[in-house]
Amino acid sequence: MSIYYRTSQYLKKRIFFFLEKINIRSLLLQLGIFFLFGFFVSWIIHNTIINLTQLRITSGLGFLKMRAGISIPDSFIPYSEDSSYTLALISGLLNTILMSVFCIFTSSILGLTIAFSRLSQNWLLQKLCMIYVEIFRNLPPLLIILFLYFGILQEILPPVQKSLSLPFHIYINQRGIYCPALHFQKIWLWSSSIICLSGFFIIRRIKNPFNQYILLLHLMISLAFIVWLFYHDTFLELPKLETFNITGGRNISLEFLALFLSLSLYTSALISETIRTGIEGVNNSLKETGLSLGLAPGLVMRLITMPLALRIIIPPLTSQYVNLIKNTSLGIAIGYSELMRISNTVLNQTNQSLAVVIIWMGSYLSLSLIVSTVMNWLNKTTLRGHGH
Amino acid sequence: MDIKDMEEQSSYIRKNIAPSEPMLRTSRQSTYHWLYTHLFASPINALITLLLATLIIYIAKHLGKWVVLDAIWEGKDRTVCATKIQGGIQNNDWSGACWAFVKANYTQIIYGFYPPEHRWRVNLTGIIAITVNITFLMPSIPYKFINGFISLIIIPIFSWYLLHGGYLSLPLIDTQLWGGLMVTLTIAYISISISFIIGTLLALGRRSQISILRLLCILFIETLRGIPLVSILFIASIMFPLFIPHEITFDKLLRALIGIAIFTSVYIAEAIRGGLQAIPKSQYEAATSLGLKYTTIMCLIILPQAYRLVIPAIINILIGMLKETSLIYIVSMFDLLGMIRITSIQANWITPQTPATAFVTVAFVYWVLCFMMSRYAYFIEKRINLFKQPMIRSKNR
Repeated sequence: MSIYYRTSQYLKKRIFFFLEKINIRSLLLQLGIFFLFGFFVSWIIHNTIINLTQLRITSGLGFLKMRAGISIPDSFIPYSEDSSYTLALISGLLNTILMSVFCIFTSSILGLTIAFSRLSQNWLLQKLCMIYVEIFRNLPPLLIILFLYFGILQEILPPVQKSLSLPFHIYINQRGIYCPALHFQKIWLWSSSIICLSGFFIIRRIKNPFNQYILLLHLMISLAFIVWLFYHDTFLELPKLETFNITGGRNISLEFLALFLSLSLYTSALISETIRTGIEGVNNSLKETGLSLGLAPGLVMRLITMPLALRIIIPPLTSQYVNLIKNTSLGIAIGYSELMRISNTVLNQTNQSLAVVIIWMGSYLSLSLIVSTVMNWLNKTTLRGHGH
Repeated sequence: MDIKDMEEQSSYIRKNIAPSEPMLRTSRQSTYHWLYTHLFASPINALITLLLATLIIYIAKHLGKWVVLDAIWEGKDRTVCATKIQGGIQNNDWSGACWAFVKANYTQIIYGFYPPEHRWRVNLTGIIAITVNITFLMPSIPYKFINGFISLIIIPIFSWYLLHGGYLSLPLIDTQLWGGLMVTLTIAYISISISFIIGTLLALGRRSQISILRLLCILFIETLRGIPLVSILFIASIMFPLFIPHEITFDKLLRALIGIAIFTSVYIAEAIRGGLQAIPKSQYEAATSLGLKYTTIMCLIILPQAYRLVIPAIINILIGMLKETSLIYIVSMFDLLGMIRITSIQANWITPQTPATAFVTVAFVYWVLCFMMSRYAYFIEKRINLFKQPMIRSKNR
């Protein structure tokens, strides 16, 4: 009897305790928010369905297989107007990625150079770089793009008939840059890149820098040999200047050039500020310690300042890169065929707004996610061995 | 052994005062010295200086010629800015800025197609906004709460009604007619106030105890941070009408404005979250132990301190937003950039020089606005740093 009594008492206590712990008020609040949100979402879906049926649009992904009919002048993959919407979108995504990679590379190097120039002893260089940074970071990127494309490149470059011809068969005109194209079978591209990558991983394992260097030389020579041995079907196609056109060769379009240049200029100004604040954020006494140990200023920068500065630099640099990827979508203003322009054309042709928006979100989110993952990994490697 | 013996034994202790060394050459402050240390410290430095000087002279010569010497200041149509081949009056090798174009079209660049007889409404809004905000932005003037309420809530609503009209005796002016600098500033200003409020709510939501609210806020913030503003503007202009019942119609400009505001609010939320995290936990605990409610704690204790910490970061976000208002040109609305673009390709003004002139003008306007904002952020940051010391101390305690 007493045991039963105790148990029931215990259970009662437990239940009350549990009830106290879950906090009825908070639970009700959560349920309320959940239902409110659910109601809101269902209201939107309800409206969308009604509107779509009124507009006689059937949603679905079936349209992706249809013929696109969009012309993509600077496609990265084999694409024609008869290709499907899927291929058009993939081509746009690849163009976005290509543009992002190019811009990230250039703007990082330019930004680093400008940051170091602003920290240099030379007063003139300092001030000039300051002016550069202040000009470009206070202008809208869209304005820079339009200015470069409509204001400068389209006005100063000659028409096709009067193309500027540079050495190595490079022609510049209003349609962009024409340069010699290297044609080869794809299998050789893949095999050589695999050899390069494996060589890179082997080199990383070797500690001695001199051996690394020797191995790198060997690798390059052997790679050149392999290329020479197997690339019988490789040939160089030179662009030919005709009366009204240029045939052959590779064309780098004016849109690509304008977007690439302006985004690089804009982002490099922002990146240089990030890098400069990072370098200035390193405790000065550490640099002085390095100098007093007899290290040369360059070595102090390389061994002491930069590793410490990278910890401050990398998190904001990640967001700069993500912003850069998002800014490539401005190519739509000058007609560079990146994802945003192509998907917008798809949207206008098919009215499949839901699907297109999901494609936008998916692609841009995953691109930003990839960049932040890579940068986080980089950040971890900079923190390694410093008690973190 | 006393000290004197020690001194005699040790040969390392100096017995008489050393003669003072001659003053170092580098400590002499003269023009020559300044030039030596700042421009010609080493052969490489000297080379860089000379190269840069040549570059500067070259650029300044051409730019000065284009902007001032060869520029056209007066004129009625495109003939003054076009060469003879292009149907104008200039020599064929002429190239210079066409300021006459800006002079002829400046009202359109500022007001768009807003009816001339109603432009006083724009001017009035501008004057009221500037006077109220000067008092709001100066740190030494008291009553910040009331002032903030007026400039962030009352003025946006008031200015929308004054500009849009459609009530009392003010005739309605459709937003299709709006354009130019006026649209840029209106969108920027109203978006600032909306995004400030939404951003604060999102930041609080992301740090709240209610897990479902926190989850929704995180999802919302992280999704919007990953996609470009252009796509949000497209969603606002194409998708939004699908989401609401078709009887309700929203103004196109208002939709873009809300899109920009929501996009900015996500970034502001992240900045404010940083400020909230910097507030020591003891502040929350002290306030809770006094028996204050959540809203009281937040409004009177935590948020004022958090705002003060993140003002520079918020202003930097707002600079970014001001720059990004130009994107509404892509969804075919005419802000400053869009307006000057369409005026520069009008038939009676189109010449090879007009687009460049137009863009230089717009660039100057944007640059001045953004530079002023960034200087203000810098000023506030310096002011905050003066007060930072006591806060850190309280955190350590």
